[in-house]
Amino acid sequence: MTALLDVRNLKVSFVHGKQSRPALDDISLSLERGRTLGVVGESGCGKSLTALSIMQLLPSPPARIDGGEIVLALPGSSRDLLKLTGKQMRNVRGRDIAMIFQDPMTSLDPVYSIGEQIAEVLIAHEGLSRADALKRAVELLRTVGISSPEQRVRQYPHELSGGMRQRAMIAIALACKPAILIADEPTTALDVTIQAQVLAVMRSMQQSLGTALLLITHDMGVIAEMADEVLVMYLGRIVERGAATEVLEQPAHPYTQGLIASLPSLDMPLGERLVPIQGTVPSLAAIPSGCRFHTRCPHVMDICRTDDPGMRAVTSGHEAACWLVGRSP
Amino acid sequence: MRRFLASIDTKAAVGFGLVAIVALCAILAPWISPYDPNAQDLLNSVAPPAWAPHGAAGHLLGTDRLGQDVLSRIIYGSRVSLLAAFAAVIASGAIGTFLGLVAGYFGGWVAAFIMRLVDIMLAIPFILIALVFMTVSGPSLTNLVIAFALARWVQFTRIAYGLVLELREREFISACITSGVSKFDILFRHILINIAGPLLVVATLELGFVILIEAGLSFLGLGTPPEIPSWGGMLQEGRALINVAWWLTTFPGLAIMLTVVGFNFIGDWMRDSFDPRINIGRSLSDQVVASER
Repeated sequence: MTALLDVRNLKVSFVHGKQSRPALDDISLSLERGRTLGVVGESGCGKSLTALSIMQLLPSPPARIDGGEIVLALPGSSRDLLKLTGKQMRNVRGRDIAMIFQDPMTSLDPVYSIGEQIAEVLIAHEGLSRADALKRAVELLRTVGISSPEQRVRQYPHELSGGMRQRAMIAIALACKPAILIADEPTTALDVTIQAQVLAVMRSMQQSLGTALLLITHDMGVIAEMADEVLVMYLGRIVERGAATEVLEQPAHPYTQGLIASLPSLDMPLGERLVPIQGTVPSLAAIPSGCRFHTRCPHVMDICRTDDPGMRAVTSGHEAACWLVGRSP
Repeated sequence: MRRFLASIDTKAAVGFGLVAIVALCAILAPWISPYDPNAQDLLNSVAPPAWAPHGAAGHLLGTDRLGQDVLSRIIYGSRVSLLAAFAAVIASGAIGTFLGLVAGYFGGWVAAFIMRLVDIMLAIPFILIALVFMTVSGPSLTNLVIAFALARWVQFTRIAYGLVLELREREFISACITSGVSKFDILFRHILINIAGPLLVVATLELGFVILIEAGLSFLGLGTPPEIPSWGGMLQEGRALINVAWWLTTFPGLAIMLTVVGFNFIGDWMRDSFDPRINIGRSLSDQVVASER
């Protein structure tokens, strides 16, 4: 199957005066119809920046795209998003690519009812009349599992709970049946029980619409639940990629291993301590030489300090940027 | 609506009451004023109020040098004050809010240009601008409104700019952009509506201010032309006779004061009810509270 969205060698840096700090370095990823790509990493590793680059919402200045292309391949047309005009991009946003944000408390406009906010997107992209758009809004709210949508459609964001609002956000995002949905930490701000419900809604919508999902999270549990493939990012680079089950069960990069080891698990013996990754993420101003993770890596070797390993194949379809990969044990 | 009424405290009620009385006077002037405001009765000139010693029967607040009824002139004067105030505030509010929105949303050199202009305008005393403009263009209600619009828009621009800067970083604005809402709709449907509350407070306080300044300019002969009865003009006419006819200055002065106080009380109440930190009138400000989280 061909990719719907292909990000190739994307480079983004932050420019402060004459200094420029690379924030995304050579990011490539592709999204396929009906599949979910999970992107994990600590705060500041460039996950959200990747999403904003695809949406062309980078705060610019200071952000600057230094290279690469983002190709959106819909049936009958294939376009590099980086070359679109503002108006063309606006037609892509919401109709072809939609996005859900982390905090449902702040991502709805407090002065409009839920229905009006869903209707706005439909009116903008599908040219529906207000009355038709509101009717569609009711149906959309029903499909995302909001009970008595006829009443909810007239309510304002402050009258809804966090889970409800996130469902409403999903309804807005999926109103125009976009080919691609980007979800930036969609469940981080929610209760655990609500998280599961929201994920279930996202998955059922994905199945019925065939949407490709780019799921950004730092929650390995969400990845295990949702993702087909995983990208692990560290300091603006991809350090490991592969099928979700394989990366989670046999992580090859010490960073991925660290992320997984720092999670509590139910079958962990009582009294055992969690293992955190040592240190903190270095700043973009002081990116370590060689392998970027060597300052925090428990298996650091001499070569790591000087030379960048590049992506090395672990098995077919699973690669990691680590000198340990492929070495005879 | 019930909660809206419940949030009105005594002060706000007084404010609304005063403004309502003035507004009714302005609207109903031809029907409620006992005399034609320009009708002269020279036999009865400078007559004290009807209830004062030697008062002229039928002239509740006395008459002026030309025998014109003071009460009728005050009632008609409310038209000038309110008309000038609303026209000026609507004009300066529209200009100022638009420039503030543009500066806040687009930033960069556009914002630098507009905000430096604001700084310059704020450095020039407002009354100076008004005096010079009115002297050059001649006294008329239209020129008065233009003078206010040219000089007072900065008040709205400052506030709008600050609010837009804060609002622009909110996630729901990003969410609007990601769903392909146009810049125009984001600016006017989302940002403008969200900052309307605080701007309304500014507008209400400006109404009071404009009435004061209009009276001041009329007093200097630079406001409305003398044939139109206005409160400031009445003060000017009464000034010469202040030793013998106290009613000529007292009552127009009271009218100005009570109207301004009324607008300021309403403005204070609105500011409190839009401010989520002061939990008095939550009803009006539920949306503000929600957005402050």
